[in-house]
Amino acid sequence: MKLISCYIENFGGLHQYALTFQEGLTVLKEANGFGKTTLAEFLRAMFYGFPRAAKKLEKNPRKKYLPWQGGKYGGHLVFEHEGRRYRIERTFGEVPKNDTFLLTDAATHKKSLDFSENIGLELFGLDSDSFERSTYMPQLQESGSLTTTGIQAKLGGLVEDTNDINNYDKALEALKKKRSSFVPYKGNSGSVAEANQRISDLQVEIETAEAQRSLLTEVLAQLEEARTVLAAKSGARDSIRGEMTLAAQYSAREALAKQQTAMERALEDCLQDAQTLEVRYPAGLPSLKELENAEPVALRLSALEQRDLPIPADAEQILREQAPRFSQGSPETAELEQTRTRIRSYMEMESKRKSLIPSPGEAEQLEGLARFFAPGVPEDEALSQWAAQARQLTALEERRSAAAPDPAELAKLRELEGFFGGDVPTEEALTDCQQKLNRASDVRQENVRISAQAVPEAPAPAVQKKKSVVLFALFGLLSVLAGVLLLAVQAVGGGAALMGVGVLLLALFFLLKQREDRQELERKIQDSRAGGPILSQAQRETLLRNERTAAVLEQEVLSFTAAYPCTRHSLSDKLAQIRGSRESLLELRQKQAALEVLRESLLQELTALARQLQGHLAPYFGSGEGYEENILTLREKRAAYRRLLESSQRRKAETESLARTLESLEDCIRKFLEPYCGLVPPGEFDTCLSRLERDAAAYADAKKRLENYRSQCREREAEMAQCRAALSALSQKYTLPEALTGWSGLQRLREDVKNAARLGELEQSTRSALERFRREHRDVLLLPERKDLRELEDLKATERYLSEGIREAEEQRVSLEQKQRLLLEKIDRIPDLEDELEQWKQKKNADLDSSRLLDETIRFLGEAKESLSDSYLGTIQQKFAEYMGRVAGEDREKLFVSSQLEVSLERLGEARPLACFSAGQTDTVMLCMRMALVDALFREAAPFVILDDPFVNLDDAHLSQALSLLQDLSQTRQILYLTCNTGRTWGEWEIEN
Amino acid sequence: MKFIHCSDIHLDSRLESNLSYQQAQERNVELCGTFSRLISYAREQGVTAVLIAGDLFDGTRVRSATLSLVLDLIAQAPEVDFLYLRGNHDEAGGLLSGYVLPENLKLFPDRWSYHRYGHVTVAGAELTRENCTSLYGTLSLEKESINIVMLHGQESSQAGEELVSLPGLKGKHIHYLALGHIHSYREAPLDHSGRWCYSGCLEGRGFDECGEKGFVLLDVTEDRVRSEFIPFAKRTLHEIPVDITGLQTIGELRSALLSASRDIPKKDLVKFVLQGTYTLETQKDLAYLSAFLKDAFYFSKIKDESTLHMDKASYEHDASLKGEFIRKVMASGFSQEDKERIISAGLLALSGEEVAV
Repeated sequence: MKLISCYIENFGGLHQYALTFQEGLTVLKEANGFGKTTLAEFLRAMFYGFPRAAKKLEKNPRKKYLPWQGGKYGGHLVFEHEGRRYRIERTFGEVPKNDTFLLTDAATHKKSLDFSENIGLELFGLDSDSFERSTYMPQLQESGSLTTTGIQAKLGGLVEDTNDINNYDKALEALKKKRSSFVPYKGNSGSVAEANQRISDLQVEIETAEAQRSLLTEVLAQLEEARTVLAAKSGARDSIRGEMTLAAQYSAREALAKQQTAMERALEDCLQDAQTLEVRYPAGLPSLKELENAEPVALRLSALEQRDLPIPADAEQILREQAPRFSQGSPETAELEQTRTRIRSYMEMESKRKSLIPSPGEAEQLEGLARFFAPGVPEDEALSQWAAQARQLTALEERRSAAAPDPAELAKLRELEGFFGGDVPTEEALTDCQQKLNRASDVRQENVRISAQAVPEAPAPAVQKKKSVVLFALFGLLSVLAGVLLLAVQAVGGGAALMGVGVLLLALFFLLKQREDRQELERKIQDSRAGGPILSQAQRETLLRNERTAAVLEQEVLSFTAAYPCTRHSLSDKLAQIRGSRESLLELRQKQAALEVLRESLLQELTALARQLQGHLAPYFGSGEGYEENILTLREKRAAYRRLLESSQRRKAETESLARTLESLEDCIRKFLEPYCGLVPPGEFDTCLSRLERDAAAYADAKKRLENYRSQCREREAEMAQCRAALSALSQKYTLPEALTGWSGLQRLREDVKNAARLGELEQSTRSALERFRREHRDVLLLPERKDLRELEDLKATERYLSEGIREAEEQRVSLEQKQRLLLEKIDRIPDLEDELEQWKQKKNADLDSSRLLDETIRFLGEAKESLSDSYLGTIQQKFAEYMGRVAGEDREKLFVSSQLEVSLERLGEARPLACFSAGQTDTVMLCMRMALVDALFREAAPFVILDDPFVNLDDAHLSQALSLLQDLSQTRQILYLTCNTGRTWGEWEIEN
Repeated sequence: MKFIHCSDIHLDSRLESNLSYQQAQERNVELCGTFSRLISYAREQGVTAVLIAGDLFDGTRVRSATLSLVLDLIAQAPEVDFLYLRGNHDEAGGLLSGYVLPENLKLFPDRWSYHRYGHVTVAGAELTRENCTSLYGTLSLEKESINIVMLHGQESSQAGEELVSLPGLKGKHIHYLALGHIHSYREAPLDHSGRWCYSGCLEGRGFDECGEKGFVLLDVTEDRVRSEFIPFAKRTLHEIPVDITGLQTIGELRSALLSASRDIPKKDLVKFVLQGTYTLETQKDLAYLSAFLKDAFYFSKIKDESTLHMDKASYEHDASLKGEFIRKVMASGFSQEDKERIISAGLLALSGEEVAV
C-alpha cells in the first residue's frame, strides 16, 4: 500500500492543501505551526474516520480539528493497493451521522466496494489507535543517551497502550494488594479470615444459646411441677381456712345474738319514749313549720318585754325650768330672725356712727390749716398770677446766667492780652510790614528772572530734583483725584486718607519749589560771582542791589515782629500770626462788652419781680425765697384745707341721721327682748338674743322628746298584746299542757317536737338495722348447733404449716421463672446471632468470589502480556536485527535483543547495553525499532510511516547518519518525513527525490 | 358486625432486604407497632374479632419480649376477640407454652373449631400432614348463618399439608374464606355465594414484598359479607428498574435514579435495579451512587443487572495489553457477569484507579 496524493479542503488549520507523496521518502519542510500533526491526523481520519466522541477536547478529534475558517470539513486521499488506485473521500459533520464516505476507483472514478467505511481496519488489520501509535513517530524529547529500559518502554508504548504497559506492574501490584485484602498470599489476615473467625465465634455463640433450649424445657417442666405443687398446697390451705372460718363463725354466733338483743332493746326504748310524748301531747305536736313561724313572734315578744324605754329626765327638767319663761309661748323662729336682723343693723349703724367721728390727727391737721390760712385763703386767679410771676423770674435768672462770659473765651482773651502785652499793633502798621515783604519778594523774583536769562548748564541733579518735585505734584494731584473718586463711591475713609495725602504732597511740592527757586538764584549769583560767562555786569549789580533792598525790607519787618512771641518762623507767617491774633483779641473784647450790658438789664427786671412776689407770699411764708415752691405748697395746703373742711361738714350731717335711726331700732329690739330677758342694755342685745334662741330651741326639743317617749310606750304595749295573742292561739290549737308565754316555752315545745322526730327516725333506723343485721347474719344466726370441729388453734397451726409450704413453693416458682427469663434472654439472642452469621457468611462468600475473580484478572493480564510479546516481539527482534545490519552495518552476531526488548551491542568482545552508546546510535536504534514494529504489526498491508521531526537532538554527524538511514529505509517503505528545519533535510537531494 | 382479616405478620422475622442491623431491629419494632395500630384501629371501629390467618410469628426466632408484648396488647383489648390460626411459620404448640393466654385470644386446633358471634360463625382449623385431606369432609356449617372459614396455605385445586383445596370448600356455605400464606392481597370467587381472599402481610419485609400492604376489613350484614382492603403499612417497599443504556457519566446515572424515584416518599424502602447495557467508559460507580442515595430514602439499595456492552470490533484489533486482556477474558468460559467483573477490575488496575470487584 502506498499513498499517492491527498487534498485537504478544510481540516483544522489546513485549508485547500494538496500534497503528492513520493514513492519512498516524502520530505515536507514547513515552519512551526504549519500543521504537521494535523496532516498526520487527516491521513488517519481518511482511513478510520473519527472515533466516538469524548468529553475532553484532546480526545475528541472531531471537535479538535473543526476547520478554523469554516467550510467543508474533510478532503480526499488517493492510495494504491495491490496495483489498484483508490480515492477515499470523507467529509465530517458535527455528529457522526452527518459524516460522508466515498471510495472510488481512481482510474475509472466509479464507486468501489472493495472496502467499506472501515477501510483502515480492513487494510491494516489494526484499529485506529494502534495505527496511530505505530505509524506516527513524534519528536523525541529526550536528549542524550536513552536507557535500555527507556527504549523498551517507548517501544512497548508503540505496541501497547503506554498507560497499560507502563502500569502493568502497578496494576499487578494493585490487584494483588486488593486480593490480599480478601485472602492474603501469606499469613492469616484479610477479610475472609476475619469473616471466618467471626463466623466461628457466632456459631459457638449460637450453639451455646441453642443449648439453652433443652435447659429451658427442663425449667419449664420444673416450673409446671412447682405451679402444680403450689396449687395443691394452696387448695389445702384454702380448705383449712374454710374450716377456720366456720369455727370462727360459731364463735361469732353468740356475739351476734347478743348484739341482736341489744338492738331489740334499743328499739323498745325508743318506742316507749315516743309513747310518752304521745301522752303528753294528745292533740299532737305542731309541725316544725308552725314552730318556725311562731319563733319570730316569741322572739319579738321577749325582745319587747326586755326592752327598757328610757324616760327623758333632762327634757322634763328643761320644761320644768323654762315653763315660767315661756308660759306665754316660746318665740317664733321668724321673730327671732327678725330681731337678729335688727340687732345686726343696729350694731352696724352704731359702728358707722362711730366711724364718722374724725380722728385726732385729722382734727389737728384741720386746725393747723385753719391757722395757716388765717390771713385768708388765696383764690385760684391770684395763685395763677403769682405762679406766672415766679416762672418769669426764673426765666430771667436763666437768661442772665446764659449771658455770663465763656471761660474759654476769657482764657483766650487773657492769652491774647498776654501776647500783645498791652501793645496792640494797628492795622496800618501791619499793612506796612506786609507791603515791605511783598516788595522784597518782588525784588528777589526779579533776580530770579535775571538769572534765568542766562543759559545755565543744567546740572543733572537739579533736573532730577525738579523731576522729583514735579513727581510730588503729580502724585499729589493723582491722590486728590483718587480721593475724590473714592468719596464719590461712598468709600469715605479711603477717600479722605487719599485726599489728605494728596494735599500733603501738593504742599510739599510748593515748599520744595520755593526752596529750589531760591537755591537756583543763589547758585546763579555765585556762578556770576565766580565770573561765569552767562551774566552781564549790569545784571550782576542789579542782582546785588535787589538783594540788599530785599534784605533791608525783611530786616524792618523782622524788627516789627520781634516785639511779639510769634511761634511761626517765616516773616510772612509771623506777620500773618500777628494779624490773626490782633483780630481775635479785638473780636473778644467787643463780645465781652456786649454781654455785660445785657446782664445789667436783666438784673433790674429780676429785682422788680422779686419784690412783688415777696409782697404776696410773706403773710404765709415770711421773707424766704423759693417763690415757685412756696406757691406750690400754698396750692397743696389750700386743697387739703378745703377737703378737710368739706369732710367735717358731711360727717356731721350723717351722724345726726344715724342717731335717729338707732333710736328707732333700739325701741323695737327692747320691745321684743324685755318679755323674755328683762331690761337689756344695747351692748348686750346680741348676747341676749343668742341665749334666748338657745333656750327656746332646748325648750322645743325637750317638749318633742317627751312626746316621742310617750308614743313609743303606747306602741310597745300594743305589739306585745298582739304577740301574746298569737302564741296563745298556738297553745289552744294543740291543747298544750303549758300555755306558751314566750321564747323559753316555745323552745321546750321545739325540743319535744325534735325528740318526737328523732325517736321516729331512731325507731326506723334501729328497726332497719335490726332487719339488716338479721339478714346479714342469717347464716350465722341460723347455724345449727355446734358440730364437732377441730379447735381453732389446731386449725391455725395447720394453716401456718401449709403457708410455709406455699411460701417455699412460691420461692421455687419465682426462682424457676428467673431461670426461665435468663434462659430466654440468651435464646432471644439467637435470631440476631443468626442474622449476623448470615451476613458474615454472605460477606465471606462475596469476598471469596472477589478474591477468585481477582486471581483470574491477574492471570488474564499475565497471559495477555505474554501473548502480546509472543505475537509481536519475535518479529520485532528479527526485523530490528535485519534493519540494524542493513543500515548501520551491525553484524547480526553482535546484536542482541532480549524478549524484553533490551538492546545490546557487542563491542570489544563484550555485550554492552544501549545506554553506553551515543544519541545518534540510539536514534538509529529507535528508527530501526520503529520500522521493525511496523513490519510486526502490519502484516497484511505495510502502511506508510510518518516521522514528525524525530532528529531534533542530533548533531550534524549523527543527523547525517540518521538521514542516510532514512534514505535507505525508504527504499522499501513509504516514509513521510516532516521537519521545520532545513538543517535536518538533504538539501539538493530532496529536490532530486 | 365488623371483622378484620390479617395474616403473615411474621413478627421477629429475618429481614431480607440487606438492612443494617440497627435498621432491621427498627423494622421489627415497626412490625410490632403496626400490629399494635391494627388493634387500636379494631377498637376504634368496633370490630368484633380479628382473624389472624397464620404466621403471626416467624418460627423459633420470636423473642420472649415480642411474645409478651403481643399477649399484652391482646389482653388490653378485651372487647375484641383474636382468632389465631397458626401457620407454617408459627412454632406449633411450644411457642406460647409457659405463657398465660388472654381470654380473648382463641386458638384453633387441628380439627374444625367454631366461634359464633350472633348470626356469624367463624370456623378454622390448623392444616397438618395428618388432616390435610380429611379436614374438608368434616366441615359443618349452617346454611342460615354467615360463615367465615380460616385456613393457612397455598390455594390449590388439590389438598396437601400446605395446600388449601378450593374444590374441597365449594358448596360448604362459606361466605368468606380468610386465607393466609401469600404475602400480597388477592381475592376471587370461591363458589356462587362465597369468595376466597388473601389479606397479604401487614408490612413488606423484603423486596419480594413490594407494593401496598395491609389487612381486609369485613363488614358483615344480615345476609352478606362486604370486604375492603385497607392499606396499613408504615413503609412501602419499591423495586424500581432503571435502564442505564446510553448513560455515561456518574451525573447522568444519578439523575436517572432520581428521576425514576421522584414520586416515592422518603420514608419508604427502595431497590433500584440497573438494567440495559453500559460500556467501559460508563462511570458506573455503585459505591458513589449508593452513598448518594443513603439519605434519600429510609433504605435504598442498587442491584446491578445491567450488562457490559462491548463491541467486538473495539478490542478485536486493539494491539495493546488492554485489547489482548479483553480478548482473552471474553474468549474464556466464565459467566457474563464474571467476565464483566474481571474486565472491570483489570481495566481499573491498568488505569491506576482503585480496584473494585
